[in-house]
Amino acid sequence: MFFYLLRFKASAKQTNRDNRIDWLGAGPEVHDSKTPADQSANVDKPAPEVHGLEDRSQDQRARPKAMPSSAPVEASSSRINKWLIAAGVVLVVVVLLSFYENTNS
Amino acid sequence: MSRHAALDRFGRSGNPLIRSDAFDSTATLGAEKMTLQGAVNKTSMLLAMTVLTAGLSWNIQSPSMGLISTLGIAAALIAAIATFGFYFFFVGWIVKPRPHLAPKTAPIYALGMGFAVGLISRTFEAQFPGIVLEAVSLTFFVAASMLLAYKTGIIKPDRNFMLMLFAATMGVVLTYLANLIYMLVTGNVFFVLTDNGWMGIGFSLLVVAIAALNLVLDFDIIEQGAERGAPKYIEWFGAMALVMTLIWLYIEILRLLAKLRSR
Repeated sequence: MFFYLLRFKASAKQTNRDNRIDWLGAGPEVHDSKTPADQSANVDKPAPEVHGLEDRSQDQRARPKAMPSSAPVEASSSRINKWLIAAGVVLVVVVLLSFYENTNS
Repeated sequence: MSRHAALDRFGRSGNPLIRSDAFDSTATLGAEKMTLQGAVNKTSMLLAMTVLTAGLSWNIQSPSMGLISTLGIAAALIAAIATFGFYFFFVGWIVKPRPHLAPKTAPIYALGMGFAVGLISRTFEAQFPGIVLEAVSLTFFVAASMLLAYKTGIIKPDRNFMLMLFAATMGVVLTYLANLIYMLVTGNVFFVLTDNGWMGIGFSLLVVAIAALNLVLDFDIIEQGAERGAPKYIEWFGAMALVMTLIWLYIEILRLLAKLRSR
């Protein structure tokens, strides 16, 4: 019954409404280029692939402008993140070992 | 046109669940698009994989099986973190969500979690015979009811719904994490998690309700992805999210039934 129901499209009551969650980012109110979130997002984008000399120089000129305000914060937090990942791995190993001990006993 | 629209929107909201480029894509021209049927097929495949390894860990009881199960569960956890990311309070995303990995990580997750499901089910079945069948039936009845409520538009998820549900889910996760630390330090567990009185049953009912409502978000991801022509890998991503919630719901229902039976 579950899989049978899953095949059907949702009713218009569900799909034709303004307050839907915009999971895919295609909503009308999302193209605000002035927000900091958007600036940092632009940096994540890979630089366009260019082959001509002229195009490449334009690309290099454009890069410094794209430096996000959050870049120094991200650089300093990467060390903290490594420690947190290490701590997380240790915790997971401890839990799994205790789980393994319990299943064997 | 910004391709990071989801990040823009949810970045301002402060919601860490979606504050990334997790869902940032619609299929590019010529690329294969997601379909509802594809997501349904992938969900069935993942559930079949879960049942397969659950059956193995249920039936075969040996030290080597214990080791395989442990490795499987570890692989499932890594697969889940690699796909959905790992967010830490005040730090941000330690591991960024990578939904494009879902075609590879979803089968690993399903197979790995199957071992955990099998072991947990076997333990409960030994104590309360017949409980697993009841829990499986109840899980699919609850899932079908939520699906019906979603498809007909009785439950309409919006941003407030998502934020409230996220807060509630994080509350449950933090309770379980605190319990884990408490258990490692003292050897005991929180009273509310094992109590078969009204408090323990009430807590279990609340967690079951939160897990069931999470299904609505999974349905919405799948529905919207198919509707807007998301890339093919979102089929795997949606299916993986759905299977993850179904497994959580099943385990919570199992715990609730065990509490009710032990009274």
